Amino acid sequence: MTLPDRTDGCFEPAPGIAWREIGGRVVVLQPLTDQLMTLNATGGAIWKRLDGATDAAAIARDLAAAYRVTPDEAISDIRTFVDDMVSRGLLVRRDGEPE
Amino acid sequence: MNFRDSEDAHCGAPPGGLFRAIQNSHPLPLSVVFVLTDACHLACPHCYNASAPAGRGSLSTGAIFDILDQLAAAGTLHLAFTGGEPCLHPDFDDILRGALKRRFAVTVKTSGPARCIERLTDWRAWGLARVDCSLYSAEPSHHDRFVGRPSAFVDTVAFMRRFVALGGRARVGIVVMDWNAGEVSKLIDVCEDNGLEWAVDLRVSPGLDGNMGPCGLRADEAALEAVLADRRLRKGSGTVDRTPLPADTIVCGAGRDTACIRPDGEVWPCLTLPLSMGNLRDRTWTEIMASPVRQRVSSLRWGDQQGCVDCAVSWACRRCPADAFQETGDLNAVCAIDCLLARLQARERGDK
Repeated sequence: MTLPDRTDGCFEPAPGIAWREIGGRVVVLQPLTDQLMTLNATGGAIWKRLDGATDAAAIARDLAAAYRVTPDEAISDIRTFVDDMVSRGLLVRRDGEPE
Repeated sequence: MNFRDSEDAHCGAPPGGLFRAIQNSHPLPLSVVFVLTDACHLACPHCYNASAPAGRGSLSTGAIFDILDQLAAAGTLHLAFTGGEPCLHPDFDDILRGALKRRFAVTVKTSGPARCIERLTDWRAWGLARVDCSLYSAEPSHHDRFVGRPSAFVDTVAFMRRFVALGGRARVGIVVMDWNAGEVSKLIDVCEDNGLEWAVDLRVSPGLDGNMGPCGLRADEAALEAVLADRRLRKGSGTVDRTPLPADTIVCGAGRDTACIRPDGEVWPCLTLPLSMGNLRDRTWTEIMASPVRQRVSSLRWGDQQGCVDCAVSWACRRCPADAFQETGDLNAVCAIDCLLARLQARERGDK
């Protein structure tokens, strides 16, 4: 039996999280803490696709072509990114349950 | 002494730090104040907005959503809804939810009407993180008399406490006036006892139609000095840079970092600077951001200000061109309240 990965499913920014693409960089603001971060190009590319309807595998297929990596490498990076963003409270699974 | 929080309370500006660094590389305002309505259930005598010039009616909710789309596309990250009392807008819930869905960081500047307390659970669930309210006295009856509404103090405190209990942040704006300057310290105690953030605003601005009546409520020098003696107002510590500001220093963020949308679609450089940059009924946000008025206001430099380049306490000054304009008709004129506040703040830091 395979345990479900904590990054399985579709994710989206948590309620209240603000973000914009400014000067080619994704800027994310957590207004409860005033924590503001700019994502690098890879992080930004992933973030923009986290719309609550697209899962990691679909994003990986999309980015693997664009970044010339294998889908397995892409999905590994996406899971690491999602895990980090979830732990910061910036992303939630689409069903609304915070991780 | 760092009065950034105080100035934020006055201007409705976003958090500093990295936000400012990003703003410096972005040609359009990251923060916008949206006055949803001039209607208010309070009657505060010092309100700059009470005398707001009559506009061309109110924007429709559909038009407001279109404006929010334009702002999002232009990179605006922080949105402050204010009024009047913004929660009195008949479609406030829809507008708030629409803004949060468009991924703005939203602050609601409100008096916390009693009937809205039951709405807070939804507002938090949608992602509203911050509300700002004002309290004018630690004595509820004094506050109620000033704002002209019985139980206003109790309603506002209950509203903010409920919001904090739901995991949000609530900040009290404390506007210092002649009649309440002696109560500021007690009012800060009330805020801290209730788990509320606070920010002291030493300014009282003229009415938006040039009515100078509100300025008659300003505290005098001795009263302001006594307020500043409260060590809790000292947000910063360590060495103070007393270097006079260079002539090319940007005076403030009006028009540059922030802008204000009025209920009728007029766009001003900031909440208290009634200079039209255009109207969103006729032009797009991007077109308005290219207006000559914006270019003029956002390019104000320290060296343009009359008498300021040689001022020994410029390092302590948070000059407000809007107050100068309202009081003299000239953005670059000397403004007595700025000079007084700079002198007091410099003195508080040890300058004689």
